[in-house]
Amino acid sequence: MKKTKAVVILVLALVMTASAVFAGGVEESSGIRTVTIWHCAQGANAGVFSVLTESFNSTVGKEEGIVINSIYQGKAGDVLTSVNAAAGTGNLPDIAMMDATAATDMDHSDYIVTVDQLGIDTKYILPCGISSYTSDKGLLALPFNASALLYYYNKTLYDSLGVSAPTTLDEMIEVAKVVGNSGVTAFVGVPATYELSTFIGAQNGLSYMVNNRNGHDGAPTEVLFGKEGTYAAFLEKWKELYDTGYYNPLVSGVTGEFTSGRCAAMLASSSNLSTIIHAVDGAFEVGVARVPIVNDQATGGTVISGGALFTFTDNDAVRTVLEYLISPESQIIWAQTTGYVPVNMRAYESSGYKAFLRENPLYKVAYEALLDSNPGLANVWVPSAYSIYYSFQSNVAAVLEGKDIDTAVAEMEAIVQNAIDTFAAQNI
Amino acid sequence: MSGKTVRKPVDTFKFILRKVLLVILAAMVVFPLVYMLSSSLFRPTDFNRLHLFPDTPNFANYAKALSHRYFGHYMVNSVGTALFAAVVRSVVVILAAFAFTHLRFKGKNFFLGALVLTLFVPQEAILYQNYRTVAALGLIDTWTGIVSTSLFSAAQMLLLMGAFSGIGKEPYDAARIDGATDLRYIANVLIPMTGPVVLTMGIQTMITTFNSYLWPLLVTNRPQSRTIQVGITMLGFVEASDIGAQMAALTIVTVPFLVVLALAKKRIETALIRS
Repeated sequence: MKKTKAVVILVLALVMTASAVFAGGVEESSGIRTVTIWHCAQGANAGVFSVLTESFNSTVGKEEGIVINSIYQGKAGDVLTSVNAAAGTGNLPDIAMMDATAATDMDHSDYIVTVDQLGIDTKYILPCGISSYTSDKGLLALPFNASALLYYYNKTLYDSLGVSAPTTLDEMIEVAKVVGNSGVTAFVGVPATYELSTFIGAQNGLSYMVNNRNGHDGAPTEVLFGKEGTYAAFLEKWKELYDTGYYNPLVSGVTGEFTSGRCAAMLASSSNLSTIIHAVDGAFEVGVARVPIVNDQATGGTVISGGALFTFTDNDAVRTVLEYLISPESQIIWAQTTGYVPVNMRAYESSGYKAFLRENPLYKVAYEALLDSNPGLANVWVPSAYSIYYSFQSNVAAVLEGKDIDTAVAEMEAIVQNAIDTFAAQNI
Repeated sequence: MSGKTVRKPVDTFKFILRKVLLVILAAMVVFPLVYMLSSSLFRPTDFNRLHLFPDTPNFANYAKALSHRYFGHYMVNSVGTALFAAVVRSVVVILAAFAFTHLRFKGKNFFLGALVLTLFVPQEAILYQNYRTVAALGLIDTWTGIVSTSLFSAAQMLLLMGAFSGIGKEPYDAARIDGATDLRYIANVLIPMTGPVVLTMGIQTMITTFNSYLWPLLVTNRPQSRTIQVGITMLGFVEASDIGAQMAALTIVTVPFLVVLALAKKRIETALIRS
């Protein structure tokens, strides 16, 4: 018995001691102001972000007595969960990197510090970037990691078959048949909210999925993609693409299917460009093009995507850090290494960046697509954004498997309307 | 005539069928582990065709996984918190199950009901409140914070109550007459007699804690405090389609468990046979 007790006490003592050893938060040195950033950059992107923050700490930060403490908090959705949890506990970071799925929560929070309140000059920031994070409250967040949806394709294969990247879904169907007949799967992946905001947004010059300018001019109250027929128009063409028999409706591992050469095309963010080129490793030439449009009237262009820096502290140190991160120099480093689009338009005046784009023309496709897009286009801000993302994906997949389009559209309308109504009942 | 037993053809057929089934089931269990190990040695291009073993082993994946400066911290934190949770939860659940099955006290049914009610509260529903409590207690970035929501399980308590009830009160009464304390009875009689259940519970807690992602992510801010599940996501191998490096990281994470399993195999088997 004594032996058992001793073992239990010893084990408990060990784990308690270890717990204590690993305890403790970030300590600030006296006189040094620490700006904490929670971010969602992973892998290579995390490496570049780390380069930027370390560069700040050893230059501007050293002069001004500011240290950036950058902390990875999971994917963008996880960062939002962490921010929501930390609100009111005194554990909020100064800045958090999140995407549009956080916008509704942030727009209705009482702890966000808008860019207007910070007084940061945004005249050189991409107009569509500003528009994408502007609500009736003002500019909610500072665009930092901007991107656009692109059509990635196996250029080597396309060239050998004598086809080029499609510009419309009708062309995409024809290209799929040619590629499929060569023995390679023509397309992989199932669109979700991200892709649909462009497929739907571009229709009729400019369309929104929900009212109030996709939720930017106040919480949305009504679903539009059903009654305006924009979702159905997309689904009809997409089903036709699937019916070619050369489409793999995978929802995970999509990039791997493309980079392995098993599938000839996919849709993905421009922010994946460097990663994809690296993963293909010269096995074939990667091509990127603008997203094929649903029909001839879908002239709105591409919705800006990616993330932005939401701020929760209003002080000089935070302002200095934000100005550094959106400076042309920082944005060039960030864009060249990742595939994101520089949000600071002065970056495009840099001779170094111009030379980079001449040597790497794939990196300018997203920027040019955004410049040519209708500035009114806006990513969709809906409550329960992550849940709706998967609902859309399942809904599209169900149509591919034979569900009637009208039924699918009605179901999706009901899901989004329910999320809007629930949010309104709880928050407004 | 030899003394050897001669099997009937039907028995031989059953014997072979049993062995074949065992081999198939064993292969189903082992295959993912073998493929994980094998693909951790693949070059990126090896994933483009279907094959089981690499033409030439590529150890660069391991170098890549291990080159992350906090990988060691992630492992220590994961194994440490998993053990921490398993030990503390086992102690709490054993004592609770003992109290509810062997002792009489005021409000017993009320407390039991209250604890069982926790089964119907989804963790997600109390996520933010749990975070606020842990933050208020200053447990952010500590192992205690990471395991704080795993220190009790009503389901495990009920499971153990069933096992304890099966033994009956006689051994307890006899032990008390012999002058044994409750703790001595638990340690020397109750736990040995319900060894497999207690062991299974401990292993289950370890695995659940080791695999948890969202809570450890929420209550840790420093890379040094992070667990392996968060760490592997942070390495971004999946995002980068770097499956080889991801498999190498998973192999490194899995090997310690396989070693522990191999070392404790005899003990686990004995405990199961005793039951």
